[in-house]
Amino acid sequence: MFFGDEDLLLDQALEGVRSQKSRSVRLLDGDGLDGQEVVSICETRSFDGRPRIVAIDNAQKVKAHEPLLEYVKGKDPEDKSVLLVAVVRAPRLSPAWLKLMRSEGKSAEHLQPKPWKERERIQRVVDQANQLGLRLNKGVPELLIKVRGYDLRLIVNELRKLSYLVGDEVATKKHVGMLVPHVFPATPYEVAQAAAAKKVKTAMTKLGLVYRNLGEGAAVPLTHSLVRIVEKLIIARSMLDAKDGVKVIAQRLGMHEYPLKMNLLPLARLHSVDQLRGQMQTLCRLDTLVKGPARSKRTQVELAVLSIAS
Amino acid sequence: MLSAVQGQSEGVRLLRRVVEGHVTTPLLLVGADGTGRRFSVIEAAKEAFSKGDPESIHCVQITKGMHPDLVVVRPEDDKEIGVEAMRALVEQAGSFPSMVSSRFVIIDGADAMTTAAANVLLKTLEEPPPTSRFFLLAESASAVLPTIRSRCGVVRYRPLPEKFILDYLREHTDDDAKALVCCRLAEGSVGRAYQYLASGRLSLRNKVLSLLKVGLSQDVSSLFSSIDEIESDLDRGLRFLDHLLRDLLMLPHDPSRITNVDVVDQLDALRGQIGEARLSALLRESRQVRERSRSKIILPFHVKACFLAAFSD
Repeated sequence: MFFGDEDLLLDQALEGVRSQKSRSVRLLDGDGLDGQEVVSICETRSFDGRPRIVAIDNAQKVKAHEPLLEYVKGKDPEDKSVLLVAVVRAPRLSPAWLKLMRSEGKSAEHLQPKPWKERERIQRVVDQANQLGLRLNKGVPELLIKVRGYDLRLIVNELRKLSYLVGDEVATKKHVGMLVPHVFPATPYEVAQAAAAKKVKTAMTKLGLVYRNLGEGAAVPLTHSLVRIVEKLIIARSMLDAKDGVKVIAQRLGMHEYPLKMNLLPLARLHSVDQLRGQMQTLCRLDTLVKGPARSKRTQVELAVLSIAS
Repeated sequence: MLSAVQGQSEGVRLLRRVVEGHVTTPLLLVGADGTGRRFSVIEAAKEAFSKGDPESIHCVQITKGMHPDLVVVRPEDDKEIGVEAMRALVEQAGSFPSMVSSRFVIIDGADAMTTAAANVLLKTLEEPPPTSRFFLLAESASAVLPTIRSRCGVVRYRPLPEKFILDYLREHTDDDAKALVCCRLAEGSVGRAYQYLASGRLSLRNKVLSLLKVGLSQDVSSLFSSIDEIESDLDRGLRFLDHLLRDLLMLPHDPSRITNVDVVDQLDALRGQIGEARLSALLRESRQVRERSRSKIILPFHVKACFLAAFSD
């Protein structure tokens, strides 16, 4: 079982399974599939008698697990005729899959979560570069993460381009500069984060960049990002005021403790519940405006960002 | 047949004239879901196609939803009727019907048509093909584009009387109190009342009631979790909230008009805790949210903000 939210690594794992020449591979999509169907596919022998691999992508969408669980439990450990591979694309396993995995023991687990710590992210980029046979100079992984955000798929695309560009040489920051634009793109969420951090200048600069990339259509994703962050902030702040621990807050917000402690809680401490309640009202008005035929939506978004940031 | 339609005399009168061939203009049937708009058009189709014979093949096919000349268009994914669906409908409406002299076309959700889709339909409504009769169904006339509205005869389906709905519900339950609550929550719609009774929707009402208690506790996290729990049914939840707030405000003045008669004790206790000023504020805010929810707002966020504003000190 491969599970986690690092899609690229899950794809690579699935590709590894698909390329097995010695076995007959049947690839299924979990969407619309139920446990009984998977079992009957597993129980069908291959046409040429070769051992089989039944791989289920998006396995988190498989419904009615019970027959599958029973099948896995009842399977003879000596029977190597079928290898069942499940790719669960979710940061956490549902209880049903957890039960299934535990029945097979820890050896079944191949976790691929997105790392939160910077050095782990850098290591992951370096690993991908090594797979491509590309050597990176100091600071290049950091620069790539800064330019593309931590999206391993996008970064690997840049690494591929770099490997064409530099050949056998070591890739430097200068090479990265030749491939990517000098002005770093910004995402709506970065605008919301900068506003929540009360960094007025950064928020407004990034807002300008988002508008440059997305045009007038930027108002809706920007509003959604502001809504999302203000909602998280007010929950975190009210729980902090109620003296709840980091673990409890993380559980409530469905977040990992590390990014909560490092990113969200410091931001929540900059605001009071009363202020955030007022921001919610502002954002409700903004949401109504941007979804309607109003003019000067950009000004309204800018005012909302300023009201949070100032 | 049209004689089966009850409590909507104006609609029946006009539909009978359509059946008799005296009216060919498109009709816009306006009223809440469950007041009998769809049912009466289908019964009119049965009467028109079968020439009054309830045993005919037309009636059987219509009942089974497979008559080729009864065309029903509904919003895709319960959201909107798009331009592609409307183009296909216009093309179909121009062709000859298969089994009868003129087909019935029902646009179930005229208020859910996109502007582009409505514009495609304009010319057809202006000069309907002689082989098609158009019936547009909408919850409110104001939600339909004025250009569409002006090309149709508007028929209002009034909320059905309480006695009529109660009699209907009593055929399906022995619990009078529950029947009364479902009847009053349904606001004159027998379909909606039956849905509340049969599908256990009162549990949603109970969740909304507990939202008010959570709001009182001023616990933001629990309040948000409770709202997220009913996120998929928040539209209906807001309707229930409206009834509960009206009941809370009405309780000392006229208890006979209370909708949620089965939870009067809880309402009485809540009223004292929340206070009239807060109740009025919450009612005002929640109605604004309902008004805004016609556009694609982030509804759970608006509801959360509404509760926080009303319950802040």
